[in-house]
Amino acid sequence: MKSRLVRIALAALIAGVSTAAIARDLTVISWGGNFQDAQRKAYFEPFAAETGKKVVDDSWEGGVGTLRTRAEAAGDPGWDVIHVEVEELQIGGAEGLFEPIDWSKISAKDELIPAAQNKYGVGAITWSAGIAYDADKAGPAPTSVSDFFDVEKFPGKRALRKGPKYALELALIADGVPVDQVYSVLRTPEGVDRAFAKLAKIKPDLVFFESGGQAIQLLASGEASQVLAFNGRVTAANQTDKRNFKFIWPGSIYALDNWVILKNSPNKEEALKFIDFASRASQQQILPQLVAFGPTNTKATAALPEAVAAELPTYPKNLAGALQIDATFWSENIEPLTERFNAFASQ
Amino acid sequence: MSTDYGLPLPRWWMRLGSILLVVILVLPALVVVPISFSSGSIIAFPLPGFSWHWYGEAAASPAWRDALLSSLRVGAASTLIATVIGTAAALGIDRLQGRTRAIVLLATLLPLVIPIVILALGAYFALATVGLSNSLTGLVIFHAALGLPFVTLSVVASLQGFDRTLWRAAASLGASPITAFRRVMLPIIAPGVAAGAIFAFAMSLDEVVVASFVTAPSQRTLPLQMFSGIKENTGPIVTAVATLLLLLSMTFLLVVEMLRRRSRRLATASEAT
Amino acid sequence: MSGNGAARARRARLSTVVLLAPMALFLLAVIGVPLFLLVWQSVADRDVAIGLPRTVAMLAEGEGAPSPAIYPALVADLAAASDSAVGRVARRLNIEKAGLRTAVLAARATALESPSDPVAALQAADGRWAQPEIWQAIRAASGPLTDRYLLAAIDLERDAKGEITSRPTELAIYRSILTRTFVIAASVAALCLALGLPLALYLASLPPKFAERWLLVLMLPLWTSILVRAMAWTLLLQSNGLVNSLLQRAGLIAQPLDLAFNRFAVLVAMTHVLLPFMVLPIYNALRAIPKTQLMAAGSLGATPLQSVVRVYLPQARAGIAAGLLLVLASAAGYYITPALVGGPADRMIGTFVELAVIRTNNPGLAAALGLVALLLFLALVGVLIAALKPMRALEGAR
Repeated sequence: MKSRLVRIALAALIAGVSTAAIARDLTVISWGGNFQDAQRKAYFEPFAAETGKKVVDDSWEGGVGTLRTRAEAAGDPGWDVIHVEVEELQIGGAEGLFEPIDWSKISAKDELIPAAQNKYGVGAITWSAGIAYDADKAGPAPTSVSDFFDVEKFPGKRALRKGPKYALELALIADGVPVDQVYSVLRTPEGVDRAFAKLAKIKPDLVFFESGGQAIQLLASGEASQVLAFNGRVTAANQTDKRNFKFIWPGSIYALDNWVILKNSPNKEEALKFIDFASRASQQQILPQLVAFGPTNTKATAALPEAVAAELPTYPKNLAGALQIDATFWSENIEPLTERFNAFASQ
Repeated sequence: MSTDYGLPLPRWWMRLGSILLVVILVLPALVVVPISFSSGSIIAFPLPGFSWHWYGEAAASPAWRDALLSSLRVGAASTLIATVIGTAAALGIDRLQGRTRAIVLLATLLPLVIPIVILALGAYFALATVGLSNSLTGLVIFHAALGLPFVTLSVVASLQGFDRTLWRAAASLGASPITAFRRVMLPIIAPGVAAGAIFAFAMSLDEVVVASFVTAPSQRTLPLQMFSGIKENTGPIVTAVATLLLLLSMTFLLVVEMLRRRSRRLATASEAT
Repeated sequence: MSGNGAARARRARLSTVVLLAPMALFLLAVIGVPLFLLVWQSVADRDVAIGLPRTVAMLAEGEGAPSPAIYPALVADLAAASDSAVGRVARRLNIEKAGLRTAVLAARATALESPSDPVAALQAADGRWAQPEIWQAIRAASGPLTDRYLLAAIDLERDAKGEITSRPTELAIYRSILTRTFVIAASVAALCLALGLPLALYLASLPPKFAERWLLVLMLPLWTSILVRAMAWTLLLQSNGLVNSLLQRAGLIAQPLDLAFNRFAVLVAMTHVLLPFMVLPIYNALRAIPKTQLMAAGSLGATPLQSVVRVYLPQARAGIAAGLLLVLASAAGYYITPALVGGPADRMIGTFVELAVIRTNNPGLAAALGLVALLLFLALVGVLIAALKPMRALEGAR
């Protein structure tokens, strides 16, 4: 009895202690849901198969604060490669949160679009954020951003991402601001007040989500009738779950996401190898067939069948009436506007 | 109209109400079970079809396996610490009386009566100060703190059935305190210790607030992985894991119940001698 | 024999202390130290003083605009400080005035090039280094103590003159969130008491063997993952969830009811989670009361209800107090369930503590919010103890 107890105790102690000593696998952080499932097939699994280096993937919900906490912690930050949005690339780059990219190691450099070649980041995808709805549900179908804000004609809950990004732009577009003037209006205090006032009108019907996957879930469960969604996740849900979700292109917001390497990553070399791998045309052309996000490698784009290309944010017809995100505006204003948005959302 | 034990309330509606209440308590957790057999990828009714798919996914996924391993490690190590400290404390409390006893008993409850988010924030600051942030070691320490009251109270309860004359008899027969403890005390408190340890382990296996404040995501515990699965909408894989956890909980519950019965038998036996 | 007895008593006391010591030390380490650090972090303001020691010393010498000699001092400080120290200075000054982060980082880059003319170089790097406001900000943030986080936690701030004023209404949220947190916690505790007390009374009236079987069933949800239960309630309550579809199929409602993602869902899910914490202590307390007392009360002419209210419940008050305390503490601190099943207006203080510490890197605000919440909680517990006087009942026990 006693010796068995001692053995169990020892085993527990060893198990507890040994966790500290294991060398860490390459940890790649992305945005979860069906998008990350697709990345796993296009990048993580083939990379692990080719190099023998295990890839652990995890998801986050964005925010420079999270990156700062990790980069400034003493020792291993826990993450290596992160899929970031443009303003996170700008702020994080300025604050020295990322390792500079050694472009001589990126073999597909010349095939990448210019916007994908940054000092601290390598462009990964283009995406669009816009209004999505379930076409199988009864009632009139919304056709514009204004309809998102019209709860009389189009009843039901609305879902927005928890944060000022996209929400303020959509509010101004719905309030009649032409797409090309959205950011100049938003740069004035009156413009910010105007956007919040527009949002306040549908406040009782607003719900907020934190990850792109949740938006699809809210639409699928019928909890929300219109959601702000990312175009690729909408088409992926239609494919895998036989849904009939529709995405409204006019008034949608498009942007480019980047791969970055977190400062103090113990896996810098593998991280760069991974980014190199993920920039190749051969891998980049797999992803859009699973989720309709655009490649940054021009050869990959050229190789896509027309049916797939027509669903991408960069397809000419889809770009009409769309708004490109203003990275500088958001890197200057994300913090005060996030504070104000959180106060707005919690009331 | 009143009950056998003198309570004044009509028995039939008390019984009906209580049955209803217990049904309401137990049933809701079970709605996740059917979803785990869904052939679709969205967590909602009605189900498109039956499949074991998500159990396969859960078993094959390294993220879920690593999370389970992390949780088992943290659970085992924190339970061990809580059990040793808590059992010693319970033996100490058993010797106290009156006001001192009440105060010490309340002190053991402290980790449970401080709102968990405040404890987690304090843990975050404390672990950063000693350089243990983002580590499972830090989590082990604070999970041990949360498990401590369960062990202490469970052992104190098992000692209430313990007849001290046995202890004195052993001592007067010349047994050393350690022998007396091992031969007389340990068999009697063992079920209480084991039940407390299982409680502490189950608590660690379900704890998400402290874990989210003090661990790095590369060492996600099972509840953190589930939390992210729910938030990120990774599909019915979460419900498959939840169903497995339900089975595990029921096993735990039955084991604790068996231990308790055994403890009561031992106590009655010691009273009889 | 009597001397022997005294020695044995002494030895017994000593071994009691030895047995209790590990727990006392452990609790000190895992509760005492963290709570102390919580208080310290809520008032500490040392990032700028540590990162920029020379600059802060020069600013302390006089009021008003600093002499040009401060520019070389700042360059020396920024060149000597580590990356993370500069990062903390930048973050702290950005809290003082939004946007200063970039000014600090630009100055750091300049300082590392050891410029020959620090004044011109810094002002060229970022125009704000020519303005007096940035020096005021550094002075205001030079510590070592500050009340800004504690004030912010109750929606106050200091204006330019140092007077305490309210924060702008679009940012003043914490008072309402603290109120909401304790309103939810108290409502959940009240619901648990309303449901749990009759249940405990019923269980205590059963023969112990049956009662324990019931308790086993009651404990089942306690063993189920709290996250699983939150997910389950969402599945039940959402607009096309099981409850709504049952009601619709039964023809009771035409349109789905708004049951999920609101206060109703939060109260239902939290009461469900915490009810066992109420029932178990009350049941244990009731069991400990000799049944003969009730019979005695009955034979003295008390009606059954009177005997329960006058005789039974007062003796169970330690159990009731323990139940209320456990439920209140859990409900006030466990912000995950409301975040999953509630709406935006049901987020509790824990969500904002997590936001401050993990997302927005503002440990001072997180600590202040935690401290204010803890003080409010302790006040609530004080009221509870004063009302129920559970200690007296506890002392009666062995």
